[in-house]
Amino acid sequence: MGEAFRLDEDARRQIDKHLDSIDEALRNADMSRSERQNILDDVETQIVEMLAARTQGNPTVDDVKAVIAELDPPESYAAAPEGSQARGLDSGSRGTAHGRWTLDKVALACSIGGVVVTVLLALIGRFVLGGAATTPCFLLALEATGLILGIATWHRPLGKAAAILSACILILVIVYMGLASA
Amino acid sequence: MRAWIAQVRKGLVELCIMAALRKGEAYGYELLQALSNAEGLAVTESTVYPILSRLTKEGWVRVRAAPSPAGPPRRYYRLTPFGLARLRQMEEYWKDIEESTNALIEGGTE
Repeated sequence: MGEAFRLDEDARRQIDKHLDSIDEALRNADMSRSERQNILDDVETQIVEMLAARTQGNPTVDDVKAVIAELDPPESYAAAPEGSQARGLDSGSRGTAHGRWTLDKVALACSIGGVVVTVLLALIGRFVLGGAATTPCFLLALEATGLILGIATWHRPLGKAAAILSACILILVIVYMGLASA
Repeated sequence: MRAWIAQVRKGLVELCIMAALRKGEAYGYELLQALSNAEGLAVTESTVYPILSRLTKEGWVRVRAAPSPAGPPRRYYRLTPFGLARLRQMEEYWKDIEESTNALIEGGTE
């Protein structure tokens, strides 16, 4: 709390009670802890600013109750309009509200995975199989997949990163293969 | 009728939030007040803050905390470059469907 704004214990408890109810509603809506905390911080700021506008610095419990009465009830957060709303442009790339593996993530995994797998194969070939030659098939396949998925999800940051990374790696491999065969 | 209005509004709030952030950063309550003035949109905090939280999580906006004259720090939201690009896509899409819808409403059959 800031210096210029003081809440007595009862007023603070009233605000915390409201925030706890919202937190519970958000938890029931399967929202992550960090997202819930962001929302609670914004609600708290709003409550305090409404109190500051309403009083001259020392709000009472009644002031807090009056401000909270102006706000949405905690249950309205459980209705979670977020889960189904405003996802039109991205619905194809997002399985659930908290989807773990979306196309852009798969694209980036392919981009990075291609390099990792190739390095591992090269190490295995050299140290385990006694210098057997490795082919860049895995690398080319994974990077091509990363590039295609990255382009398909270009509007998302990870998709864009995957497409650029895969394109760079593919160019390098093709140039290397050209030089090696020359 | 009420259910239909709610459905239409839901899809537009995210676009409006991002459009409001195009002018520069704003903290949650400030943004809420700006959007509340938009006639017909009728947004409240239980709609706006969860969307801001998700937009942050997905990288379309970023947040910085700054001291407030009263109470806890204000959390200022700003569009990231990716968010700005996405906003442009959303606006293009909105203009397309707006034209098509208006044409149908006005009975403009080809």
